Amino acid sequence: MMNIHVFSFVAIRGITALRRFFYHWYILAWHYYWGSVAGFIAVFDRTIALRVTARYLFRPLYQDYSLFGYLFGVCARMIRLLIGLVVYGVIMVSAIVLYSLWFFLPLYCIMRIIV
Amino acid sequence: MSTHTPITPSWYYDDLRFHFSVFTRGILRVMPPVLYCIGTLFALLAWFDTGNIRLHYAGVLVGLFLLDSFFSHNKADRAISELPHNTGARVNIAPSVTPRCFRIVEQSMDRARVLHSPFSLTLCEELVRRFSYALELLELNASDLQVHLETLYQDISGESNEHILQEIQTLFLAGFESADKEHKQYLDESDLFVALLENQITPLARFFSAFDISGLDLRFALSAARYRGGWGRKFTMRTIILHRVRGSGMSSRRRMNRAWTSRTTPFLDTISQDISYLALRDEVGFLVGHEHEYRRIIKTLTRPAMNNVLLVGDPGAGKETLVHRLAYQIAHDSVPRPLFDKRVVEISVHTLLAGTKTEGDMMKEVVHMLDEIRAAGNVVLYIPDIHLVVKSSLRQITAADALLSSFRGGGFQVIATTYTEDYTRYIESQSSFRDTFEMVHVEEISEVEALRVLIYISRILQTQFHVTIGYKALRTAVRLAHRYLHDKMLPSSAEELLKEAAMLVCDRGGIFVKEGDVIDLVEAKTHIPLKKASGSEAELLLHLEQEMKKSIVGQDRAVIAIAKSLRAYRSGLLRSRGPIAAFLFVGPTGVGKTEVAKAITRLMFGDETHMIRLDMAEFAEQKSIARLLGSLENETKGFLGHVLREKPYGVVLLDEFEKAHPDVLHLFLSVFDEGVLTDVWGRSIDFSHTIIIATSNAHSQFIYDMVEQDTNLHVIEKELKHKLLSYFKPELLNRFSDIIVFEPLQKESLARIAELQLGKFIEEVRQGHGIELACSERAFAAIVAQGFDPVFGARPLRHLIEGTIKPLIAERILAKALSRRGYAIIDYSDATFFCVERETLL
Repeated sequence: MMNIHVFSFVAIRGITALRRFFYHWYILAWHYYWGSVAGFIAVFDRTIALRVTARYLFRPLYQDYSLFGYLFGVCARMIRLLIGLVVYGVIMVSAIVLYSLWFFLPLYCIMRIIV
Repeated sequence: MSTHTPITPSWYYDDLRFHFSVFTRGILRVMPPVLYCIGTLFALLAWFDTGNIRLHYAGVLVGLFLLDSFFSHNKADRAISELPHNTGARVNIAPSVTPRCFRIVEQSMDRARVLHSPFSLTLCEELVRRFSYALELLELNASDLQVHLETLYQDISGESNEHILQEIQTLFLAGFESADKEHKQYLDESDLFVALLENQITPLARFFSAFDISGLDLRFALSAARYRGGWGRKFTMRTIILHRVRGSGMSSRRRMNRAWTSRTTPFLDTISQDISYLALRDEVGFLVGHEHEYRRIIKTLTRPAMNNVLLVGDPGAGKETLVHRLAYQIAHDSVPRPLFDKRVVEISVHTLLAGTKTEGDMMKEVVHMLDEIRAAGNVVLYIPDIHLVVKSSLRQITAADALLSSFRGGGFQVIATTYTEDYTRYIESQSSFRDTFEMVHVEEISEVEALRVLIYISRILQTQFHVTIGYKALRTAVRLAHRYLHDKMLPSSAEELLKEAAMLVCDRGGIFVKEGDVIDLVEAKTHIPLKKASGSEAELLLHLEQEMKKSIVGQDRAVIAIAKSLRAYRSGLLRSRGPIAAFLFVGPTGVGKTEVAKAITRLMFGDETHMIRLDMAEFAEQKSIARLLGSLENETKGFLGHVLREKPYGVVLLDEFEKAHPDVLHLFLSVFDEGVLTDVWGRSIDFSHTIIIATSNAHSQFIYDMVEQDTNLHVIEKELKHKLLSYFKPELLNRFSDIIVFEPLQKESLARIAELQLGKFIEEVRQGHGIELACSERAFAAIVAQGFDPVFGARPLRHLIEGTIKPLIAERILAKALSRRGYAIIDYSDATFFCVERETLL
């Protein structure tokens, strides 16, 4: 009877360990990874300020309400928007690629073992 | 309407392993590391065997699994937060227990069974060993504690298996409750330690209680011990990258807002400091407590109008810290929209108004600065010590007016700070300030919050002075700074005290700052005895009545009452509020009321300079309150506050109490009750370490008549208390610890008093001039006869000694008839006192 308990305990521990592995790899990693990416982008946004730039796109630059101020403002902000979009795009694409590698690695290994 | 009752689960602890045999558990303990070794070997071999694809990828998978296990080492299977909390079902907490915690309990259980010891003892021993550093921080030595534990448990025998399992269940449940309340991720051995301490049944709980250590103290010490040897900061990849990014120029001084809608402020930048820049670099912004004040600041600053804040508080209250916190939150975009993307800029009033500038130049600069700020549109102006603007504007009215009208006009937000005293003195009466600023009073943070700050600061001090600061030293620094050091508020006062203690310990070559070091420092600063009486002082206190009787004749009730109150105070059984004691001595003149006060001052406080004497007849007018508490009009500080800060521990003698103005008497209601008075500047005057003795001659004739009729003293006291209502309000009389009647002196007592007074004079002459004096029997009898008056008590005796005996000796000294090592006898004949010199003593 005791042996049954021991074996069932060992079996449960094994299953728990496996469950824990997949939980860490997929659930926890998802939160941690995307949280880090969001934090990383937030730090960049303190300088690039994409949202703020878009909101004030047609506001004159440095409160210069002349024609030049308006035109220069639009141009400068458009350039900034473009740079920002490119930078954020690169960050997001890299993040997605990296996460995809992470996500599919165990599945790929299983697939290569089975097939 | 039905109310929703939260459903709580029924927690229980059950781990199958506790039901297995020692051998089986041993196997189970060894199995994981063996499997990990096999797995690692397999993974390495399979990784490099690219010939067999299946094996190769199996190796990769096993490798990933082992990596995950490595990083999850000592983590429990499930976090506490993952356990279902909102169900009525039975929930097993075993999956939330860390492996190390389980092993400790398992080992303790096995030891208990083998050694037939109590389980809680073996567990305590194990935990004491593991947490020896945390115990050191509590000034407990782990080895001594082990010995004490064995003594504590010596009469307790080992328990049955069932009992041990039951104990384990109870302990884990208590630990879980503690960990859940603290929002910890897992239940670990530190939670068990705290649970053992907080479980009142175990001898360990009683042991820690004897050392005045609570569960909270242990928790703090365990938390502090976790950071031993450094900040314990985890440099994750994320942190490293963020650091690199910050270092690459993102933390450069940002004069322009991110939206590019503001303007530069070149002139302002030359006379100001950019707090936002410091906040961006995380150099400022740490704040503990003050949640209410911070919320009010945000609410005010985000209003469309009247959006300026004036922070009022005592030095060290945290006004500047609040502004820095605001700058930090702005830098990290954690503020409402109206504050988004702003800069917090600090200007110094000194810089603005000082120098040899003419008023015209100064006005130009002020206007220039204000124009820049308005044009920029993204500046929150911070002005510390704004009272200096008003102060200096006694001669520069236009500067203050220009600033205030600009602030009122809007366009930008202003945060100003001032001290409570300066606010009362300079600002409160100015309606222009009230119309411009929203006042926010910054209160002192609580002791618990101050302790959290101090734990953080202690890590810096430990590195700076190369000492270890015990947790008890931290706790005591906060408590004593809050209680006795009123120049600054918490946490600044506690921080300075701790820094001084660390410096002293470092200077004398020590490495550990203990509670005693902090107490010694505060005693030296305040001259208040903080440690319980011991040694000679305890002996004196236990025999205080006998000692007082050496200089006081009769008046036993007063002597006993004072002695009792002092014993209670010095044994630590002080009233939670109020002075040590407050007595009203009522009796005819010259019977010893003041003498009792002087005697107790000499005995307990060293000398009579520790007595603060107030002749209340001088406070017979209402306007005399200003002498006591100060005056805003005349800008004078009160006498009481000054003198009590100098001598916080002693006797306060209020002579002729009944002669004071009723408003003055009214002030003492809060003194007798709370032990604290507040002067006109808002500063507290602390009476809690004083004995207050008020004397009164009220109804002396009544006392005299009753004594003549041989009335019992208790009856006299009872009737007198009613009669005293004609002088004092009942609420004042109620607040005295005791009202003591001083009986008129009898002639028999006078001989003793004469002996004491003469003895004092003779001793003074011996000490001061080296002359031995004696008094003949006839002279002594004459002194006693002439020194007594039924109406004036023993006062004629003092007059006689001062007015007749002393001048007599003085003449002999001046005439050189008496000199050092001389000997003289005071004699009396033909109604005259005279002095007879004898040969010089060898």
